[in-house]
Amino acid sequence: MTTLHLIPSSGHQTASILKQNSLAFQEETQSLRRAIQALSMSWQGGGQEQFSAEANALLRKLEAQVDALQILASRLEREVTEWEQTDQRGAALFRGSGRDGLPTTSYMPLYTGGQTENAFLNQTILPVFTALTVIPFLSGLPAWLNSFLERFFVPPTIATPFSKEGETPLAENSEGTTRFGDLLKETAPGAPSAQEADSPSPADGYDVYYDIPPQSQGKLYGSAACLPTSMSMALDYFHAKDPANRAASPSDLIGMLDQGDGTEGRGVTLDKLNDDLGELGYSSTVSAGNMDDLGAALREGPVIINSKVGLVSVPARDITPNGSINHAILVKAINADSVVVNDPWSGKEKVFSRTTFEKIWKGGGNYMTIVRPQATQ
Amino acid sequence: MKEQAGVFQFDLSRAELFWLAGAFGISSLPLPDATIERLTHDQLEQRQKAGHASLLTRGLIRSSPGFGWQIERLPAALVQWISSAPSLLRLERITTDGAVRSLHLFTSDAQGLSLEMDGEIARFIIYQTRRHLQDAIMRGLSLPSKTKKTASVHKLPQPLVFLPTAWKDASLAARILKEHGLDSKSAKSALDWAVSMEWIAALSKVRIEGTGNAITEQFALCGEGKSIWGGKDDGQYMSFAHIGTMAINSKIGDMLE
Repeated sequence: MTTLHLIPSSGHQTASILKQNSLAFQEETQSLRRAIQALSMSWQGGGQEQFSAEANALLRKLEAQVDALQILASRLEREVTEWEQTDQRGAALFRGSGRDGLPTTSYMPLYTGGQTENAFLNQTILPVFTALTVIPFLSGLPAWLNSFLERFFVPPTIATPFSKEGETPLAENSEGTTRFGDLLKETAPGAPSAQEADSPSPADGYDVYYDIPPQSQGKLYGSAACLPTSMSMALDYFHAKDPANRAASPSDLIGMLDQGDGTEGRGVTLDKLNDDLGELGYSSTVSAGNMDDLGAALREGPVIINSKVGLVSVPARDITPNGSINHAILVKAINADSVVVNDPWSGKEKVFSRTTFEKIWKGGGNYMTIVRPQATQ
Repeated sequence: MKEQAGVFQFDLSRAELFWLAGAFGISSLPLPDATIERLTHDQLEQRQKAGHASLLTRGLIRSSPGFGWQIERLPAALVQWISSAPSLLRLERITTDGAVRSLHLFTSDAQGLSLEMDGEIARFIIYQTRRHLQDAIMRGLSLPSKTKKTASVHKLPQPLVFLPTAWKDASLAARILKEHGLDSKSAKSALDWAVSMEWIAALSKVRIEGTGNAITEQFALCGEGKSIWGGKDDGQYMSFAHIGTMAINSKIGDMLE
């Protein structure tokens, strides 16, 4: 028989040390970032861009390690707490009945006389070891319920991996203020797959819906490959529709960039892929539009838009409507209530209410990139 | 999913609830069942597997790229709402035919939630405002539309147990009253009144403590077609006197605060 053994006090102590160390690392990383930013102000040319890109890439790796350390600390804390609670429940049952097993009855008479007695017993649950990401994919909920759910799952505010020049990254959520269940959302090590196996088709209820598997930009181009990744997803769609249309991976597209089209770690300007796409047999135009324009363009195929969002990296990569990062996403479905996008940062499909989508698109200047095979023009 | 103004119903099976709670790391759920089945770990695991399959079929979860699952936020919110509540209101209504209706009521900000088990189905009803919830509780009590005032007061020990006992076995109820020290005349009066009641209900404020719970406040009502009595706890007994629907509504509002 396997023996399970855990000394809670040691567990708590280790979790505390992990957390303290992660905070110390975080402070050091922030200090380093400020130093690098100061350097970029006082050093122009002569390889400064290359140096800054490399230093920023290193910083992001450090920040990822700090995040990982914090997650480990929280997981350990939670594990120890669960052991303690299980132990307490076991002890309570032992004291109560002298027998093992789960509670057998929940109906207890309600007494008068100011006594406090059991009203019922809670159903005991077995843990399921998996990771969960909460996503809104039911449409048609009443607006008041949507609003309530948006408040219920307030996204954690954490340091974004890209700070604006001269701005110190924030780490508001570093002191364990995650909501219950957030810690279970972390993804497993390794690059996320672009496939969603056995996903039910969410096509029902959308005016237009393109079944395009999401791709993750991962750490490509200094974790700033949102436009090439979005573009690659769009090309995948046209290639799947007609193999004569060429597909290109995000790496392929980055490889086609000309000098000055983009900066690793900072991203690619929205129209800088247009000439490269021409070489691949596509036409690509960038314009500002409104929701009607987007709806019209979507009838011909997916559309890439520029959004202004927050990029979250813990407990899992996600985008939030509140943020200041320009971020390209692929719009693939729309209806009267919501807009479905493939987000390259998280590598996932996301559903926004139209209001939220309009907000993040407006923040991004209402820019959209429409790429289409030249033969269909 | 059903919707009416300010009210939204969403059902989850017990097995689905078990899987969701397990995946969120929730160790116990405050379900308003009359009984909790004694399930072995294997049986619980089987239920959770069935729940997982059902959630996938209903499109409430999807495989996540890489590892884990994407979950629709409505069921996620419901499971987290009931499991993280420090307290709840439990509404029980028992009628002379022995039927017991139990609901658990929760609040979060301005919104309210009721949870009722219908066999293997957990029926969640989300209310846009507490007022909507309060109205639903009033409807759930099924009070007579017109009531007659009465000056009589009756004392009963443990009314939620005593009244169903009296309906089922009057002689046993008489012995209970006698053991509580009531003289035969008072006992007969109390028993006659108790047997004439057609329902009893209690709204209890329950503090959630792990797998167990403790009542911190209770409001009991009983009645028949023409009158309603509200119970006042005097320590050893609960004294029942006439109460009007406005007073009941007001008391429920207080307990929801």
